[in-house]
Amino acid sequence: MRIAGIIHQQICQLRWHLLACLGLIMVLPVEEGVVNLRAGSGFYSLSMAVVAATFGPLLAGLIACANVQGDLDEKRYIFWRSKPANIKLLMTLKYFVGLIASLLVLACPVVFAIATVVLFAKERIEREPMYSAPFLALIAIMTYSLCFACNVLVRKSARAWLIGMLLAGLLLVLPFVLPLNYRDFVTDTMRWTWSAYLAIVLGASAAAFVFSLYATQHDWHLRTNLKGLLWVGAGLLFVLMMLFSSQVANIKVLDEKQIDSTRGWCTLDNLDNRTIFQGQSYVDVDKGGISLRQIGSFSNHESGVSSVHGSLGIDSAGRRAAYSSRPIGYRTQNYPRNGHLYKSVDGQIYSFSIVAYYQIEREDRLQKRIYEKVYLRSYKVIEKNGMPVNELDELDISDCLTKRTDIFLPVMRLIDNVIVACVNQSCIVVDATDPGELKRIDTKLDVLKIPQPHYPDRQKEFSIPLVPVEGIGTEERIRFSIDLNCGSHYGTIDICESSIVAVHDGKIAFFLVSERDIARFDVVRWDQENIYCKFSSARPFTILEGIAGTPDRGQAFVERGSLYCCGYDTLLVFDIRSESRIRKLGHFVRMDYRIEDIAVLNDGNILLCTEWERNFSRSDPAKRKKSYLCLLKNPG
Amino acid sequence: MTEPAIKIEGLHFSYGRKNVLKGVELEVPKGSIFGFLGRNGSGKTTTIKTLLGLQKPQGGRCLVGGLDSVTQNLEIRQRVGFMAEDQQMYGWMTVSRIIKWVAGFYPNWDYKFADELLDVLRLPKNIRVKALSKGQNSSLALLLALGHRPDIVILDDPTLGLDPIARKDFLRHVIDLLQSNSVTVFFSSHLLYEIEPVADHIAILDDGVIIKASRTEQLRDSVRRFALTPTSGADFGNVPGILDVLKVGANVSVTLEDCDQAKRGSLKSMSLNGMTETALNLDEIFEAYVIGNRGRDSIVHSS
Repeated sequence: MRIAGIIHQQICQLRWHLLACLGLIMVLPVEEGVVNLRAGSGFYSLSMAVVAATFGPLLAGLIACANVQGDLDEKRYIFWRSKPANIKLLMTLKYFVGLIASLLVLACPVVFAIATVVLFAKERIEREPMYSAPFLALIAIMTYSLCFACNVLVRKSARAWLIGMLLAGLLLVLPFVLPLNYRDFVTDTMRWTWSAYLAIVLGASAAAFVFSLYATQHDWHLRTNLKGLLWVGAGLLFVLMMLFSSQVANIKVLDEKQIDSTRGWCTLDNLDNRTIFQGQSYVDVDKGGISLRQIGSFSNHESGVSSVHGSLGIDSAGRRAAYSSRPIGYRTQNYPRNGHLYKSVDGQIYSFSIVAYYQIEREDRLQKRIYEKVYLRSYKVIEKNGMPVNELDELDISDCLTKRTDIFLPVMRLIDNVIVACVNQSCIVVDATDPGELKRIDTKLDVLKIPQPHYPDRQKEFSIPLVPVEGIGTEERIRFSIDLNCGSHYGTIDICESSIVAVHDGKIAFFLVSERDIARFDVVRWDQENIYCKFSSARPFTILEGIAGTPDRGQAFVERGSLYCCGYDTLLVFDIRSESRIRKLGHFVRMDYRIEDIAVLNDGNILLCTEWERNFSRSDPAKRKKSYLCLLKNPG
Repeated sequence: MTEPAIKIEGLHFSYGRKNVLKGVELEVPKGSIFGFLGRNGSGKTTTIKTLLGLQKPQGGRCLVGGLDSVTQNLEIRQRVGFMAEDQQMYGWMTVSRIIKWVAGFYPNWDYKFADELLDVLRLPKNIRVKALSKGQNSSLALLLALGHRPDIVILDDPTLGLDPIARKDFLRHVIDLLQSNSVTVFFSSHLLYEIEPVADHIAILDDGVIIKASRTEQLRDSVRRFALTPTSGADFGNVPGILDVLKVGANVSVTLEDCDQAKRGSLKSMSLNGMTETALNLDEIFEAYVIGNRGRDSIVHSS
């Protein structure tokens, strides 16, 4: 058999298809080059070349179908099959000629981009986007092989292309939509993920190639009808969606309640192991679902019936009340921003917050908040009254602000009857046994570093400063110090009621959520000044989780052996009891809704406070913000 | 006795549940032009595909030139020239290009002979295959089947779709090129009149079995049609070798195979006033074998 003749035949057979594909894939990069040239940046293309290259796998499938379609027509098939050709060698040649052609087509925009950027770009351009090219080439090999095999079997190029692409899509998504345990195995480390991907892509390509050789050898021909094919396609998509939802939406919603809210932010707070909503109502959950009961009242009230909420000073008509003590020209800022620390004493509910006074100053067209004074206050929460009735500001912690500053980083936590409150680099400990009479236990000024988003080195041991305050136990001090220093969004996310620290079997560990993974760090020892920690394990986010939105910019906390991570509209729950492995338990996505707060109820179920974002208007009741309380079954 | 060019023993093949070949037995003598007759869908192409090793038989075996079609199919295809029914080739190739391409598969391709064939078949060299007429297309396919000087040529309904003149032209070429070279030609067709003048052996395939195989002349001599007026109660079904009984008014037309004096006597005894005997052409013989009623429901009742 003359190999050169076969190769020549294949190239001739593909020449028009190759030209068409080349035209398709190069039009965008060339156009971008022209646009850049007109803009005076030089004739180069980068972003459009990357976009064009992503079409490479699709075009590779087309080339695969065109590659053998000419040979597989029923009457032509018998023509060349009846010749004394080594079928396997013949098909191998055809396969590789087409594959090389496909990769060359894909390489064209990449080479064009690199060449034009190097030769013609008038400024230095980062070629980082081009790094995806090898991955695209791998995908192209898979789509080409699958379409080639499908065409050998189905012998109708359009159908073969569709089936091939569907299979390729399935294979790409499959590792991430398989049941949770399997996926956790695959994604225990990033290396595993990419190894699995590489194995799937190359394995599927090799399997498709071998299959096509055998199918041709044995004249396997699958007769398809379009209707059946569409049904199978729809069925596969359905299965895919089911698998997708089993991974990304596998937390069951037990109940949901819509609440008309006039407030900017919904809050769920803790009061004597009970969850309260907006500082106004107890959230009761029973077989009938979620119900709200006004604090201090035994009758059920819908939300919106206002009780008193100390620091926010919202009256029953929804008007913001002015503080009597606020100095003229100053504005106030509260911490916690979205809620309060609550405490019940003899049936009376008190709340605590840090209040800062600031003025707006202009500097180079920029507005800045300049903070001058800061107070720790306790409030008495009383039903029906629209004003705060008990404002205790005898305790001036303004010492914490040693100078006028534009930085205000407050942190506060209630530990038993003790409040630990920090502002910027200073810290106080207050006895809150009697909220009406707060007693200072300890004050440490300028002892803290301004916490920065913390990305510890995973290769070696590192230390976290131990907050040097008296009056709380060592374990709580460690917990507070870690939360203070490692809460990556300290200052914007409250740590007053939640912690990323887990204490299990006497071992202390904490968890950091990044956009890439969830990492566990173990506390190995501590002394008077530092806590020493080291990296233990990580659980990378899968691609599907990435698509649904990783929770790296939201609230994260540990409770009862589980880690709860909230993204914008996503909640992920992980089992963190194992030292070596973080295992995903559940995933909840609520599109178009913002998760505003989260609470784990006594029965283990999860309460989410979500807000529907569209058409928000305070003035128009029809467009009033809609908040929802969602009761989710705990997947743990 | 010389080994047959093609030998088929108990060949079985089915597509799914449909049994296409049900124990085909056939021997094609060397150097013969063998007419392989059968209706559309009777299994001719399936038999040929199995001979070439393009599909595996589910029972039985085929030997082509003494080679097994399953284990030695590559060698078979090197020795055999094959032309399929309504054969399509690569339209974008020129005639000379496709000859070169096909030649690449055969180590024994005879370029000189192929050039001679080009002249004999009056094929233009530099024209694209898609621009050829149907007749030229068939001629090219014949050239490609013969270019390596095979000793066995299998033609599967090669004149399908050709007009009568092109068909005759094509057959003339086949005879000219093959008869003189003592090549075995296995010629399948459902058009009997085109086989009749060229075939020296005939086999009739019907419903997956060979119902008749013999020399053409012998077949022609042995099958006869008789026209007679039957006696009342005449039962033609009892006459051995009855192929077909056709009632035409008061008369009956009876077709008999392997006609001898005893059979003629039996028929005569059922006739009121003698009978006339006619020889049949291959077309009629084929019809009698394939759609003949074998004398069923042929008892003649007096009116």
